[in-house]
Amino acid sequence: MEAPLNNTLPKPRISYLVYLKSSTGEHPNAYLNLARLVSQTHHVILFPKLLPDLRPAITFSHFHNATHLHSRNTPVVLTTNRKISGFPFSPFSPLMVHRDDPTWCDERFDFLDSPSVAWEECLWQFWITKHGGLQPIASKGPWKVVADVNRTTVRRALGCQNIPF
Amino acid sequence: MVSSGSLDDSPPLTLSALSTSGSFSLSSSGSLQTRLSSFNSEQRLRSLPSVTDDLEKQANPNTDDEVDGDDDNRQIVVENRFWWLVRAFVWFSALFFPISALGDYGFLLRHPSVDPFSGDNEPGLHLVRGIEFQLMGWLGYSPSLWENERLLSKITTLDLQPSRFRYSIFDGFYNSHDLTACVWSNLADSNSSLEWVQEWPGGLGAKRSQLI
Repeated sequence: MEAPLNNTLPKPRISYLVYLKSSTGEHPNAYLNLARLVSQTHHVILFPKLLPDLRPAITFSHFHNATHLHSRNTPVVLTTNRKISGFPFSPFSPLMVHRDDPTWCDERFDFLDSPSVAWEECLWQFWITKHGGLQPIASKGPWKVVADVNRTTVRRALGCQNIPF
Repeated sequence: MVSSGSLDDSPPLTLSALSTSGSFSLSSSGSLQTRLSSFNSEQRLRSLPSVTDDLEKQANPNTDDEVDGDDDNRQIVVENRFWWLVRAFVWFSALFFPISALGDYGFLLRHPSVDPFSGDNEPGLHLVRGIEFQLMGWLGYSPSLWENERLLSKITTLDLQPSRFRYSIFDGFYNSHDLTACVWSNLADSNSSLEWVQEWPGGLGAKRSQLI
């Protein structure tokens, strides 16, 4: 698989592209951690899935305003509406973290091959580590997304159906 | 009484004699005393060395002063050669190690793209990496091939072969106040994700794609 040509990307931009063979399996959190590691800017936004309803310019403006409002130690999560103020957030909610933040995405549910569960675990990891100190911001237009696996399935797979997490 | 009087008179002479001819062994302390007495304070120390010589000859009747001196000289020569070898080795390594390490430091400064994980504001890290490079070279590894994989094995649980993990930097201009987007997407969505990345106004779009 070849990387796209240079002229397909706008000039003032750096782009890292990693192509993986399917045999390696899906490890979205691990690769998001890796992408965060090689990033050059102070703030990094992790997108576990590209949501068509989230236009890049609008999303960028949301997070860009949040960088001026909040401290660097507070991760900012974009939610669908204002009612969501704590965990669980919307599925595939993008998260903005400082690049040098000591918390990294947990990879322990990557074996389930479910990006939504893996990302929920990552959000949960940040939520626990920051003692609930995630700053939710609501996008103006709600996006529609369906999680591929719900949490009941995960609990059943782990054999801990009665234990809330 | 006699010894105490002699020590009060000439302690520095005794010390200097010991330090200049410092290869006398303990067994020949009697001869040392004799020479000291003959050089410096001959008359006052005469009674004491004679007593110690007599005592030593009574304890070891077969020992001879001349044979002892020859053994000492040989020992001195051997020790001198050994210490000169040690000194030469220390000087050589003290010169060679910084030169070789700094050579790699210069290499990393000229080619900063070799190591994508080093920050620009940490010059000390470059030096440490240079030394690591050199050590790996001595161990028989090729740094350019193994360095990335070794660093990656520290930071991620994934088994990333160097051929699998390739980063492509298309342009180097960015503002540190920009926002980086790290995107995970499937190859099925690659066209839409490419469009999405192109629309991203931040300085850097990082895209992960899976080849099916």
